[in-house]
Amino acid sequence: MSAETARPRTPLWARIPGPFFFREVRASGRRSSTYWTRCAYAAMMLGFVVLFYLVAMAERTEGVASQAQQMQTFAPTLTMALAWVQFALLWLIAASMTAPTICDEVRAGTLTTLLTTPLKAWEIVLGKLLGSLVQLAILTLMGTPLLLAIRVFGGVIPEMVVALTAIALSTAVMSASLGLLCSVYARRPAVAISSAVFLGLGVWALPMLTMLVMNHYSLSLTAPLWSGTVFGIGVTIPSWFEISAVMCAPFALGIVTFELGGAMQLRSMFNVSGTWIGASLYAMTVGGVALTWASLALRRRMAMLGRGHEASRTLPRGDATQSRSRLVGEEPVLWRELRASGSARWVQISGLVLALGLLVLAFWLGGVDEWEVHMVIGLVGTVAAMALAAVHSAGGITGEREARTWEVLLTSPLSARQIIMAKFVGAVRRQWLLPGTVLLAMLVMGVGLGVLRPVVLLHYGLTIGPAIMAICAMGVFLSLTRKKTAAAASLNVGVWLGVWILLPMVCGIVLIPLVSQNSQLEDLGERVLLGVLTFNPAFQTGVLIEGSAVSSYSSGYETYDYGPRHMGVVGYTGACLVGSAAWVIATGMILELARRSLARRSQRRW
Amino acid sequence: MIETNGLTKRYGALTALDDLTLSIGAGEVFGFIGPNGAGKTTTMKVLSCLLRADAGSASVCGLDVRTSGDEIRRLIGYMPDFLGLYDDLTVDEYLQFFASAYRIPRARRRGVIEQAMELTDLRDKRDAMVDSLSRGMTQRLGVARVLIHDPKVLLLDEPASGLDPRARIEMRSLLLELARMGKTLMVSSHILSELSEMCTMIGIIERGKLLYCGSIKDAYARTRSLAGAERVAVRLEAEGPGPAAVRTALETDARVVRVVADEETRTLVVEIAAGVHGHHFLIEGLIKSGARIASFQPEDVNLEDAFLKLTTGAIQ
Repeated sequence: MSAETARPRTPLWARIPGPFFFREVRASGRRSSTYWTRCAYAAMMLGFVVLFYLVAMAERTEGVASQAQQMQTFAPTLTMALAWVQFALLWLIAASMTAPTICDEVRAGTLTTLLTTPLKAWEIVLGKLLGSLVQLAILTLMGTPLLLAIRVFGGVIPEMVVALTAIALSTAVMSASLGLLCSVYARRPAVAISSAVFLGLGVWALPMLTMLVMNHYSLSLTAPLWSGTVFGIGVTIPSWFEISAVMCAPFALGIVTFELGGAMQLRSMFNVSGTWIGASLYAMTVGGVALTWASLALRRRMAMLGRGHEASRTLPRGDATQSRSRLVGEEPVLWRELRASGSARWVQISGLVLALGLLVLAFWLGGVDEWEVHMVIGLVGTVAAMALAAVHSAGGITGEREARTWEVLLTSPLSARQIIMAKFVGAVRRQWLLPGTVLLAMLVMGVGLGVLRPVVLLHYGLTIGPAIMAICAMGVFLSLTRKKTAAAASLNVGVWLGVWILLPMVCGIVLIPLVSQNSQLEDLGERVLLGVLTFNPAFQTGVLIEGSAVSSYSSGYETYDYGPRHMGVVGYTGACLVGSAAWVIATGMILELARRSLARRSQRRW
Repeated sequence: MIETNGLTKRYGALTALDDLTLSIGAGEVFGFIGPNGAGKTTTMKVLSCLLRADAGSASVCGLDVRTSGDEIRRLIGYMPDFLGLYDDLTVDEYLQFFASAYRIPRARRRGVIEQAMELTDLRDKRDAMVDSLSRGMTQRLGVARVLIHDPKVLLLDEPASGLDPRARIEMRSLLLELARMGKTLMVSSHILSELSEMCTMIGIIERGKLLYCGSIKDAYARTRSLAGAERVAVRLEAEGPGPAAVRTALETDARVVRVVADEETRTLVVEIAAGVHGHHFLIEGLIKSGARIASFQPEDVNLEDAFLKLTTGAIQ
């Protein structure tokens, strides 16, 4: 090309924010889900304030001075709660917003189209991030006036509001960047979302694990790591405890909220301002690294796509006359669901190796004969398994819709029951890894070494199995009713967070003042609380592991600390059975709802 | 075989189908013509029970699409315009999957799949992953899938879309083969030349309204009558009288409306009055004038002309 005809290079700064930013902003502006998310977010924050205010009113003391003092403690408590809700919601929303984007581009074939444009991979990634940041900034700013308004009750320092907002927003940026990184590698949106969430958790867990290892070797956590002079200037590398606070956003948030709550002793250990500023900068740096990585990975993928690497998968054939294709069963959808893997083989193997590595680390740090280690493993495994089930099950039908295979499937005479049940069984089947690892740890390290009684395996199976079934059933139902996997997954997570966190909170907030005023309602309150706790697998996991610990058990004692009651092994097994039966009934009802919905939508028999 | 009566479908303010009434007999190859967004895909989706119409009725093989969805699914084969495939299956597994979905007995399944692969020339690709197939092969696989359960009616939405000329010709011969097998075909396309060679009936739709439905011969006849004057191109040999002299002779005939002569190319374009059938009088006139005819080419009516003539001014 001659110098006259060569197009002048666009300067770097002029390529930012780029066409993808405008596309993302415009497209999200047109989507009704954007406004629903904002409404739900605002409603949740406002609902929190109202509930807290109602409780404060119910427990109001006599006297103006006393009431003013009460309000001063109310404001920091409410701010703390709101800050944590905002932090968690923004972290999850950011991941679910960006993680499906590049998967969707690949699936829709638009990534190939982008190869024909002069757009660089980094422009695509950055444009998508900036586009989602607009939405995240709006969500963050929606909470800020609320946090500032609470200051009228007194007791909230303005710097803390800035600190809470900065930590939440920078974490959202990090989560969004990790989402983009996972989106480049994952083939399905559900896998990308869950990977982004777990990668974020991994980033936070690393300094914490280092702290545990240091503690194991009796190394000082609070002493500065190094102190000396460099070119005549005194330099001090802070303690690992302080560094961990910067590297782990929830830790930093905890410090800021403790500061709000008036835990003044923290000032002696942490520079609070330094912690939140450092944590925000660190999260942005991790986000930057993830973004750079995502750009490089996308560039490589686009180059491969350009060379046609992704369209050359043919099974090797040794003998031309012998077919390597498998024999499809009588229930084709079920057959495919039972064979299709949720993620690539290397991802599964890596996940298994990571889970086993973490188990080894936990037992090494905590000791093999401590039931508390099993408790931690059980709780982490249960929460992670439920989160994965909620996200992955939501991609069953939306995935087909996104791949445009759903319409073709609906033209077949398969009944609604066959399709829904196959999707449900497939979703449940793909959830074996985490509960299986926890059960294996319980069996080998708990029962095998005599730390836990064998009945723990039955109790854990009864607790986690039916709960995962219900989560998957809800995932399939939402997958049927939503168009996008991200929307279905977010809703599924939201439903179960509501059942396990919001519902107990609402029950507690409503019942505690009532019971304190009327002792006759005590029994009712206890029953409601028991009912709510029965359906919380994380709570049950704690109860069943502690209850089955051999060290705390001797014949005749009731060792299961079941909320306000104590139970023996028989009673607790009965409670587990009742809970499981309720979960199975709930699963059946959700599946029936899905079946009817599909039959109605596609004019087919049940 | 396919009947619709007053079929109406709205998407919000947009009327995708507006009082659509059509009838397609058994064994017909029905070409559904219309621009993008005219309502072709919506009609096919209603007929394949994927979409519920807001008003009107539709039936396939005498079965109402609103009440007999399960029976209709066994009788039709629908291929959407954009065919999504299970990328984790091989060609053979993909066909087995749908054979099983259509409840074809296991003993017959292998034979049926082999036949479908034979017909669509996919035998060499049996173990290829479906996402490795070319666009033409993908479309063939789509046709093989709809043939698996031996349906009476095939609804094919833009089956040749995105195919190269060779693949398009192969697809056309495949559809003609299906027509020979006695299937009723409803094929939508906006590539009209493709349909003209295989359709026995056409339906022209625009903005949800059916503008024409009938045999292709009738469509051509109507096009000719709508066109008014028919034109014939005549080229004269170098010897003999020139175009100007011949024009003067021809213009004396009342049946000739106008003659345009081109001395340089020695051609004449003769416009014949509407309603005049046959060209014998014109040939006689030319001979009488002493002209030596090199070629005599009456203007041909094709489907594109039919489409343009039949839709002009129909939609405001």
